[in-house]
Amino acid sequence: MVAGLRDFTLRTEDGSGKPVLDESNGEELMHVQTSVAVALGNRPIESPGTLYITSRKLIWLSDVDMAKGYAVDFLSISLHAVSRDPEAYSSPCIYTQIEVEEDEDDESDSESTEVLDLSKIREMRLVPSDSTQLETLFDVFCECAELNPEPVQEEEEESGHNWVFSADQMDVRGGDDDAEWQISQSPTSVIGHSNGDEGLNQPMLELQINDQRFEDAEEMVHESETKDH
Amino acid sequence: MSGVGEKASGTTKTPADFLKSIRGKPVVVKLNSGVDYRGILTCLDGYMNIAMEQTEEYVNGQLKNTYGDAFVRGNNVLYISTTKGTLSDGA
Repeated sequence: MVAGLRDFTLRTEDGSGKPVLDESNGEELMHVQTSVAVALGNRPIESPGTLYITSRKLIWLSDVDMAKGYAVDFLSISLHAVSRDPEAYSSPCIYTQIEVEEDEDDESDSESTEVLDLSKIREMRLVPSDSTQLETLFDVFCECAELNPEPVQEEEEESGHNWVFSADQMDVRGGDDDAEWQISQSPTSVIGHSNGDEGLNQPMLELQINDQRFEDAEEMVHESETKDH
Repeated sequence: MSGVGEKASGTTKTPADFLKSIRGKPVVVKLNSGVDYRGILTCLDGYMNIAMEQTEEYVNGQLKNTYGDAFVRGNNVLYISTTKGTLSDGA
Protein backbone atom coordinates (compact mmCIF):
# COMPACT_ATOMS: atom_id res chain seq x y z
CA MET A 1 0.00 0.00 0.00
CA VAL A 2 1.40 3.37 -1.04
CA ALA A 3 1.33 6.11 1.58
CA GLY A 4 -0.12 9.51 0.83
CA LEU A 5 -2.49 10.72 -1.83
CA ARG A 6 -3.09 8.50 -4.85
CA ASP A 7 -5.38 7.97 -7.80
CA PHE A 8 -8.57 6.09 -7.11
CA THR A 9 -10.89 5.23 -9.98
CA LEU A 10 -12.34 1.87 -8.95
CA ARG A 11 -16.12 2.19 -9.06
CA THR A 12 -18.86 -0.37 -8.70
CA GLU A 13 -20.25 -1.82 -11.90
CA ASP A 14 -23.87 -1.09 -11.05
CA GLY A 15 -23.56 2.37 -12.54
CA SER A 16 -24.12 4.19 -9.26
CA GLY A 17 -20.61 5.61 -9.41
CA LYS A 18 -19.81 4.52 -5.87
CA PRO A 19 -16.29 3.44 -4.96
CA VAL A 20 -15.38 -0.21 -4.49
CA LEU A 21 -14.45 -0.81 -0.86
CA ASP A 22 -12.16 -3.44 0.61
CA GLU A 23 -15.03 -5.08 2.45
CA SER A 24 -13.20 -8.36 2.92
CA ASN A 25 -10.80 -6.50 5.21
CA GLY A 26 -13.57 -4.81 7.15
CA GLU A 27 -13.73 -1.47 5.35
CA GLU A 28 -17.07 0.27 5.78
CA LEU A 29 -18.64 3.39 4.30
CA MET A 30 -19.06 5.93 7.09
CA HIS A 31 -20.30 9.07 5.33
CA VAL A 32 -21.15 10.41 1.89
CA GLN A 33 -21.09 14.08 1.01
CA THR A 34 -22.25 15.22 -2.41
CA SER A 35 -21.26 18.43 -4.19
CA VAL A 36 -17.74 18.60 -2.83
CA ALA A 37 -14.92 20.25 -4.71
CA VAL A 38 -11.30 19.33 -4.09
CA ALA A 39 -8.13 21.38 -4.33
CA LEU A 40 -4.81 19.57 -4.25
CA GLY A 41 -1.93 21.64 -2.96
CA ASN A 42 -1.83 24.95 -4.82
CA ARG A 43 -3.60 23.57 -7.87
CA PRO A 44 -6.91 24.87 -9.19
CA ILE A 45 -10.04 23.53 -7.60
CA GLU A 46 -11.73 20.53 -9.19
CA SER A 47 -15.49 20.21 -9.13
CA PRO A 48 -18.02 18.86 -8.89
CA GLY A 49 -17.42 15.61 -7.05
CA THR A 50 -18.63 13.36 -4.27
CA LEU A 51 -16.75 12.69 -1.06
CA TYR A 52 -16.88 9.16 0.36
CA ILE A 53 -15.50 8.64 3.86
CA THR A 54 -14.78 5.04 4.80
CA SER A 55 -13.39 3.51 7.96
CA ARG A 56 -9.97 3.36 6.30
CA LYS A 57 -9.62 6.22 3.84
CA LEU A 58 -10.96 9.32 2.19
CA ILE A 59 -12.18 8.99 -1.40
CA TRP A 60 -13.14 11.81 -3.71
CA LEU A 61 -14.69 10.89 -7.05
CA SER A 62 -15.41 13.28 -9.86
CA ASP A 63 -19.03 13.58 -10.94
CA VAL A 64 -18.15 14.50 -14.53
CA ASP A 65 -15.09 12.34 -15.23
CA MET A 66 -15.65 8.69 -14.34
CA ALA A 67 -11.92 8.08 -14.68
CA LYS A 68 -10.92 10.67 -12.11
CA GLY A 69 -10.73 10.15 -8.37
CA TYR A 70 -8.38 10.46 -5.41
CA ALA A 71 -7.92 8.54 -2.18
CA VAL A 72 -5.81 8.95 0.94
CA ASP A 73 -5.65 6.76 4.04
CA PHE A 74 -6.47 8.28 7.39
CA LEU A 75 -3.11 6.97 8.53
CA SER A 76 -1.54 9.52 6.20
CA ILE A 77 -3.68 12.49 7.27
CA SER A 78 -1.61 14.15 9.98
CA LEU A 79 -3.99 17.08 10.48
CA HIS A 80 -7.48 18.13 9.46
CA ALA A 81 -9.24 21.35 10.34
CA VAL A 82 -12.18 23.58 9.58
CA SER A 83 -10.88 26.57 7.67
CA ARG A 84 -13.13 29.61 7.34
CA ASP A 85 -10.51 32.31 6.99
CA PRO A 86 -10.92 33.97 3.56
CA GLU A 87 -7.29 35.04 3.66
CA ALA A 88 -6.17 31.43 3.88
CA TYR A 89 -8.58 30.20 1.23
CA SER A 90 -11.38 31.81 -0.72
CA SER A 91 -14.05 29.36 0.43
CA PRO A 92 -14.74 27.66 3.75
CA CYS A 93 -13.35 24.17 3.56
CA ILE A 94 -11.90 21.18 5.34
CA TYR A 95 -8.15 21.60 5.28
CA THR A 96 -5.99 18.49 5.49
CA GLN A 97 -2.27 17.89 5.78
CA ILE A 98 -0.98 14.69 4.22
CA GLU A 99 2.22 12.91 5.16
CA VAL A 100 4.58 12.25 2.29
CA GLU A 101 7.62 10.04 2.12
CA GLU A 102 10.78 12.11 2.01
CA ASP A 103 12.38 11.63 -1.39
CA GLU A 104 15.36 13.87 -1.98
CA ASP A 105 15.84 12.74 -5.57
CA ASP A 106 12.91 14.75 -6.92
CA GLU A 107 13.81 18.24 -5.83
CA SER A 108 13.19 19.93 -9.18
CA ASP A 109 9.96 21.87 -9.04
CA SER A 110 9.77 22.33 -12.79
CA GLU A 111 9.03 18.65 -13.31
CA SER A 112 6.28 18.58 -10.72
CA THR A 113 4.44 21.45 -12.34
CA GLU A 114 4.13 19.57 -15.60
CA VAL A 115 3.39 16.06 -14.37
CA LEU A 116 1.02 15.67 -11.45
CA ASP A 117 2.74 13.60 -8.78
CA LEU A 118 0.06 12.80 -6.24
CA SER A 119 2.47 11.28 -3.76
CA LYS A 120 4.09 14.70 -3.31
CA ILE A 121 0.87 16.54 -2.41
CA ARG A 122 1.07 17.74 1.19
CA GLU A 123 -2.16 19.70 1.43
CA MET A 124 -5.70 19.06 0.30
CA ARG A 125 -8.79 21.18 0.69
CA LEU A 126 -12.32 19.84 0.51
CA VAL A 127 -14.89 22.51 -0.31
CA PRO A 128 -18.51 21.42 0.16
CA SER A 129 -21.04 23.58 -1.62
CA ASP A 130 -23.06 23.44 1.60
CA SER A 131 -20.68 25.04 4.10
CA THR A 132 -22.96 24.13 7.00
CA GLN A 133 -21.66 20.57 6.61
CA LEU A 134 -18.14 21.51 7.64
CA GLU A 135 -18.66 20.65 11.30
CA THR A 136 -20.23 17.31 10.40
CA LEU A 137 -17.33 16.47 8.12
CA PHE A 138 -14.84 17.48 10.81
CA ASP A 139 -16.51 15.18 13.34
CA VAL A 140 -16.60 12.26 10.91
CA PHE A 141 -12.91 12.82 10.18
CA CYS A 142 -12.19 12.69 13.92
CA GLU A 143 -14.08 9.40 14.28
CA CYS A 144 -12.21 7.82 11.39
CA ALA A 145 -8.85 9.04 12.67
CA GLU A 146 -9.64 7.31 15.96
CA LEU A 147 -10.44 4.13 14.04
CA ASN A 148 -6.94 4.12 12.54
CA PRO A 149 -4.38 4.24 15.34
CA GLU A 150 -0.73 3.96 14.45
CA PRO A 151 0.21 0.28 14.01
CA VAL A 152 2.44 -1.01 16.78
CA GLN A 153 5.81 -1.92 15.30
CA GLU A 154 7.64 -3.17 18.38
CA GLU A 155 6.55 -6.26 20.26
CA GLU A 156 6.64 -5.99 24.01
CA GLU A 157 9.27 -8.16 25.62
CA GLU A 158 7.94 -10.76 27.99
CA SER A 159 9.95 -10.82 31.17
CA GLY A 160 8.45 -13.78 32.94
CA HIS A 161 10.31 -15.39 35.81
CA ASN A 162 10.99 -19.09 35.81
CA TRP A 163 10.33 -20.48 39.22
CA VAL A 164 13.00 -22.99 40.22
CA PHE A 165 12.43 -25.46 43.04
CA SER A 166 15.61 -26.68 44.67
CA ALA A 167 15.48 -30.35 45.69
CA ASP A 168 19.11 -30.63 46.76
CA GLN A 169 18.26 -30.12 50.41
CA MET A 170 16.10 -33.23 50.47
CA ASP A 171 19.08 -35.41 49.54
CA VAL A 172 21.33 -34.14 52.32
CA ARG A 173 21.94 -36.69 55.08
CA GLY A 174 24.06 -35.81 58.09
CA GLY A 175 24.10 -35.86 61.86
CA ASP A 176 21.28 -35.39 64.26
CA ASP A 177 20.95 -31.67 63.55
CA ASP A 178 20.54 -32.23 59.83
CA ALA A 179 18.06 -35.01 60.42
CA GLU A 180 16.01 -32.78 62.65
CA TRP A 181 16.10 -30.02 60.08
CA GLN A 182 15.08 -32.43 57.35
CA ILE A 183 12.09 -33.50 59.41
CA SER A 184 10.85 -29.93 59.36
CA GLN A 185 11.09 -29.99 55.57
CA SER A 186 8.84 -33.01 55.24
CA PRO A 187 5.51 -31.21 55.74
CA THR A 188 6.46 -28.70 53.06
CA SER A 189 7.20 -31.35 50.48
CA VAL A 190 4.07 -33.27 51.36
CA ILE A 191 1.85 -30.22 51.09
CA GLY A 192 3.37 -28.90 47.88
CA HIS A 193 3.82 -32.20 46.09
CA SER A 194 6.57 -30.46 44.16
CA ASN A 195 8.80 -33.54 44.40
CA GLY A 196 8.08 -37.00 43.10
CA ASP A 197 7.68 -40.20 45.02
CA GLU A 198 11.43 -40.41 45.51
CA GLY A 199 11.31 -37.20 47.48
CA LEU A 200 8.77 -38.64 49.87
CA ASN A 201 10.60 -41.92 50.46
CA GLN A 202 13.77 -40.39 51.79
CA PRO A 203 12.16 -38.47 54.68
CA MET A 204 10.33 -41.66 55.60
CA LEU A 205 13.60 -43.56 55.85
CA GLU A 206 15.06 -40.87 58.03
CA LEU A 207 12.08 -40.91 60.29
CA GLN A 208 12.21 -44.68 60.72
CA ILE A 209 15.90 -44.63 61.61
CA ASN A 210 15.33 -42.14 64.39
CA ASP A 211 12.08 -43.69 65.55
CA GLN A 212 13.17 -44.56 69.09
CA ARG A 213 14.96 -41.27 69.77
CA PHE A 214 12.14 -38.83 69.01
CA GLU A 215 8.66 -39.59 70.18
CA ASP A 216 7.18 -36.84 68.04
CA ALA A 217 8.37 -38.69 64.96
CA GLU A 218 5.54 -41.19 65.29
CA GLU A 219 2.98 -38.42 64.95
CA MET A 220 4.74 -37.19 61.83
CA VAL A 221 4.54 -40.66 60.34
CA HIS A 222 0.83 -40.87 61.01
CA GLU A 223 0.21 -37.44 59.50
CA SER A 224 2.14 -38.40 56.39
CA GLU A 225 0.23 -41.64 56.01
CA THR A 226 -3.07 -39.84 56.43
CA LYS A 227 -2.30 -37.35 53.69
CA ASP A 228 -0.94 -39.98 51.34
CA HIS A 229 -4.10 -42.12 51.43
CA MET B 1 -11.20 32.01 38.38
CA SER B 2 -8.79 30.14 36.15
CA GLY B 3 -7.08 28.35 39.02
CA VAL B 4 -10.15 27.32 40.96
CA GLY B 5 -10.98 24.33 38.79
CA GLU B 6 -7.67 22.60 39.30
CA LYS B 7 -7.52 20.26 42.27
CA ALA B 8 -4.79 20.64 44.86
CA SER B 9 -2.96 17.33 44.73
CA GLY B 10 0.03 18.33 46.84
CA THR B 11 3.48 18.39 45.33
CA THR B 12 3.14 15.34 43.08
CA LYS B 13 1.12 15.35 39.88
CA THR B 14 0.92 12.46 37.45
CA PRO B 15 0.95 13.02 33.69
CA ALA B 16 -2.67 11.88 33.61
CA ASP B 17 -3.60 14.58 36.11
CA PHE B 18 -1.86 17.18 33.97
CA LEU B 19 -3.61 16.06 30.82
CA LYS B 20 -6.99 16.14 32.53
CA SER B 21 -6.36 19.58 33.96
CA ILE B 22 -5.52 21.24 30.64
CA ARG B 23 -8.76 20.30 28.88
CA GLY B 24 -10.63 23.44 27.92
CA LYS B 25 -7.52 25.57 28.42
CA PRO B 26 -5.19 27.31 25.98
CA VAL B 27 -2.38 24.98 24.95
CA VAL B 28 0.59 24.94 22.63
CA VAL B 29 1.14 21.80 20.57
CA LYS B 30 4.48 21.35 18.87
CA LEU B 31 4.79 18.87 16.04
CA ASN B 32 7.88 16.96 14.99
CA SER B 33 8.09 19.31 12.02
CA GLY B 34 8.56 22.27 14.35
CA VAL B 35 5.20 23.86 13.59
CA ASP B 36 3.27 25.19 16.59
CA TYR B 37 -0.49 25.03 17.01
CA ARG B 38 -2.10 27.18 19.65
CA GLY B 39 -5.72 26.96 20.70
CA ILE B 40 -8.25 25.67 23.20
CA LEU B 41 -7.83 21.98 23.92
CA THR B 42 -11.12 20.13 23.50
CA CYS B 43 -10.07 16.48 23.41
CA LEU B 44 -6.98 14.39 24.05
CA ASP B 45 -6.73 10.62 23.90
CA GLY B 46 -4.20 7.93 24.75
CA TYR B 47 -2.57 8.12 21.32
CA MET B 48 -1.88 11.84 21.84
CA ASN B 49 -4.47 12.70 19.20
CA ILE B 50 -5.41 16.30 19.87
CA ALA B 51 -8.55 18.25 19.02
CA MET B 52 -8.49 22.02 19.41
CA GLU B 53 -10.71 25.04 18.90
CA GLN B 54 -9.76 28.57 17.81
CA THR B 55 -6.54 27.12 16.48
CA GLU B 56 -3.67 29.24 15.24
CA GLU B 57 -0.86 27.78 13.16
CA TYR B 58 2.60 29.24 13.70
CA VAL B 59 5.50 28.42 11.39
CA ASN B 60 8.84 29.77 12.60
CA GLY B 61 6.95 32.00 14.98
CA GLN B 62 4.85 33.52 12.21
CA LEU B 63 1.07 33.14 12.26
CA LYS B 64 0.19 31.28 9.06
CA ASN B 65 -3.38 30.04 9.36
CA THR B 66 -6.34 29.95 11.68
CA TYR B 67 -8.88 27.16 12.00
CA GLY B 68 -12.16 26.94 13.84
CA ASP B 69 -11.53 23.30 14.75
CA ALA B 70 -8.38 21.28 14.25
CA PHE B 71 -7.45 17.65 14.79
CA VAL B 72 -3.79 16.70 15.05
CA ARG B 73 -2.76 13.08 14.67
CA GLY B 74 -0.87 11.88 17.74
CA ASN B 75 2.11 10.34 15.99
CA ASN B 76 3.26 13.80 14.92
CA VAL B 77 3.00 15.45 18.33
CA LEU B 78 6.33 16.35 19.92
CA TYR B 79 4.88 17.88 23.05
CA ILE B 80 1.88 19.73 24.45
CA SER B 81 2.13 22.49 27.02
CA THR B 82 -0.02 25.13 28.61
CA THR B 83 0.31 28.83 28.06
CA LYS B 84 0.52 31.23 30.98
CA GLY B 85 -2.10 33.90 30.45
CA THR B 86 -0.94 35.59 27.30
CA LEU B 87 0.14 33.72 24.20
CA SER B 88 3.87 34.27 24.21
CA ASP B 89 6.83 32.22 23.11
CA GLY B 90 8.64 30.11 25.66
CA ALA B 91 7.55 29.33 29.19
